[in-house]
Amino acid sequence: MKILIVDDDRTNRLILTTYLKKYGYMVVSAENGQEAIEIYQSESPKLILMDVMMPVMDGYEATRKIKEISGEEFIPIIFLTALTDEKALSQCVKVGGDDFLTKPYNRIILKAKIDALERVSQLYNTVYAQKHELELHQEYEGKEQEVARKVFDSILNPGCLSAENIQLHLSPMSLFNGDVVLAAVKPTGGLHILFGDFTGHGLAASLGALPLSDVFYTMTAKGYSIKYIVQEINHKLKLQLPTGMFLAACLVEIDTNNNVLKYWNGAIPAAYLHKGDSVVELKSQHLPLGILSVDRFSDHLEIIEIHDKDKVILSTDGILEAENSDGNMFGKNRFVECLSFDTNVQKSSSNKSDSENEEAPVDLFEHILETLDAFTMNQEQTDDVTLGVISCDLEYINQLSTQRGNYKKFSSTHWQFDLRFFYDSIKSIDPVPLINQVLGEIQGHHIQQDHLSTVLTELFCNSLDHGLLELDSSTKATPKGFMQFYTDKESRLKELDSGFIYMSVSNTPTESGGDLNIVFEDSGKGFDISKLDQQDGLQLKNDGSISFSGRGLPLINNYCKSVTYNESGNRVECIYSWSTLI
Amino acid sequence: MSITSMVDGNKINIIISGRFDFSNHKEFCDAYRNTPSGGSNEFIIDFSTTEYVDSSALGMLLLLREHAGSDKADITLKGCRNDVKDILMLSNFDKLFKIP
Repeated sequence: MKILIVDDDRTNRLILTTYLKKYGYMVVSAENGQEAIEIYQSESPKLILMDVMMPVMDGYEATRKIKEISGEEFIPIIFLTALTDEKALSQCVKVGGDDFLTKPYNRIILKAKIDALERVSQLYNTVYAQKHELELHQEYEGKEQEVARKVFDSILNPGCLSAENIQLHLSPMSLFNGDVVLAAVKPTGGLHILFGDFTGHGLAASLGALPLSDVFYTMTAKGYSIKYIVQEINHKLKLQLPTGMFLAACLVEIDTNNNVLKYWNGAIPAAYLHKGDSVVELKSQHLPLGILSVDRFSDHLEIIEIHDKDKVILSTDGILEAENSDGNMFGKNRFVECLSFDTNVQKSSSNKSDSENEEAPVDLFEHILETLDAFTMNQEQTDDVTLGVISCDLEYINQLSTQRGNYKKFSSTHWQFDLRFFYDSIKSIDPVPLINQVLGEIQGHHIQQDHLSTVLTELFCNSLDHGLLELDSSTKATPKGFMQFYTDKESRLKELDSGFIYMSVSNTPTESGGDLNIVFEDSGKGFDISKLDQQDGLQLKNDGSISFSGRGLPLINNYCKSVTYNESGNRVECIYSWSTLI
Repeated sequence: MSITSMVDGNKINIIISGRFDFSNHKEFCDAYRNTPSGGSNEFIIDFSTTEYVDSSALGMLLLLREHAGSDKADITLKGCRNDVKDILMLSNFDKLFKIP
């Protein structure tokens, strides 16, 4: 180690130099403060022994300057001084000295102090090096996140998040909080929105966004309903994410053809439909995505009737968990209060004339953010906040569909196809996507595939369950029986060793589109139609949603112009109308 | 925040005090890791002194569930305070765990 001795007395310098060299130190020396600074810069000693009283520049000043130059490097300075008054000694430390010793000093004590400071110096240098490494690492990670963000931006944004009816508050780094928002227009008219929140933070939390957006955009563009999209997302995430990582998500479909909103909510805490004079909560009824296996997953959607300009409000837990200076959380109650405040304003303004009504300035989206800011009194907190307000502007959404509809224009033509599946292929083939695909190739996306899919699925299930497998749907009435029904279905399907299901679809062009004639026939004994009708009755709840058992025949009746069964109940013929006008 | 575990035959009690989030990941895993995996154990997680759970905590519960035999797992989350229960119910965890 190199030590710098600063003393104006030549004898003192010589004695110290000889003494320190004995211990193997390299020694350099200076006659005054000014020279000390110069030698410090040219020789880079690791420790300095400093006299106080010197000509040209004293030890205090030199110490102050050297400490300034050394910056973050630790260079221990021990004062050796003849001064003994407390004020002078405390001044040594004040200017940046690390220790002091009064002359005449004990050599053993001096050596001990040098050793001690050498240890401190080593410790400091280690910590300093680690700090430096950490800074480099952070900088690297920052750059990496920046690159990742750009990549993700281009992957996540082919949708219509910038549409005029969507107001969004999303921090640029939201992805690394795990928050994801996707929106896309359906080719058949309507809008899909996904609001998601992955577990955890950082890059790991964002990785799931890749398969997520892929499935969401691809399937929406193909005209699938969110029912199938949510199934597929769950399946993909379950397959690709490790246990313990999942996606809380709310999928919303604004169906402009039927003026209904369909939603599937798994653990998004704040999801509401604002209907002007009332607020409906879009309750979380499912586990988050990526947890349940396909056989336990529920794709059940809730359905609510909507009117023009109703608003969907979605938020992840960032708002609800935002804290004020007292450590209180913003919470669900305050959030709901925000929504009802706006309702009141709208109510009172609706009594005024139309022109005044248009001027009503309170915007729900701004109002929520302003209330949050007022609560936290801290703008920065909104960095963790992801909030979306989507206006169900039905006409505008339909415009979006036509604008974005780069789909080939198909005209309605005459065609027919027939399929016959025998018992063994029924076990492994789901005919519904197959038929959808064929329809897509022939007639493009004009045919509303979600309704048609429902019709086809129900028809196929009826043929299979009641025709080939001879299951009795009355067992489905109780929850226990419901499970029993599906257990029976599985075992009977496994044992099935004969029979077939025949299906035929043909199109007759009409003025606005076409009539599909759909025939399903099975080799079973048939069943009592009137009985089935009663048991699978469509149950409309008061709030307009359809209950879990509300599937089956009445649903087919609802979507088809006509449904005719033959007497024995093993052949059904339906007419499904579709239109090229949206 | 602290996690204590007690093993009594095939019953494993885990008490979680304070905040339950990603910082407890190692501690929580340590609490059950040495118990036999599969559906032979009964787990009781005591949440009566838990102040807060975040989504990583939910993830950890899923890891425990996998360790304890997935669909065969017998795990009770007992004594949840209202706000903790709200988070568990919002995520519909009552479909995977017993939440009395």
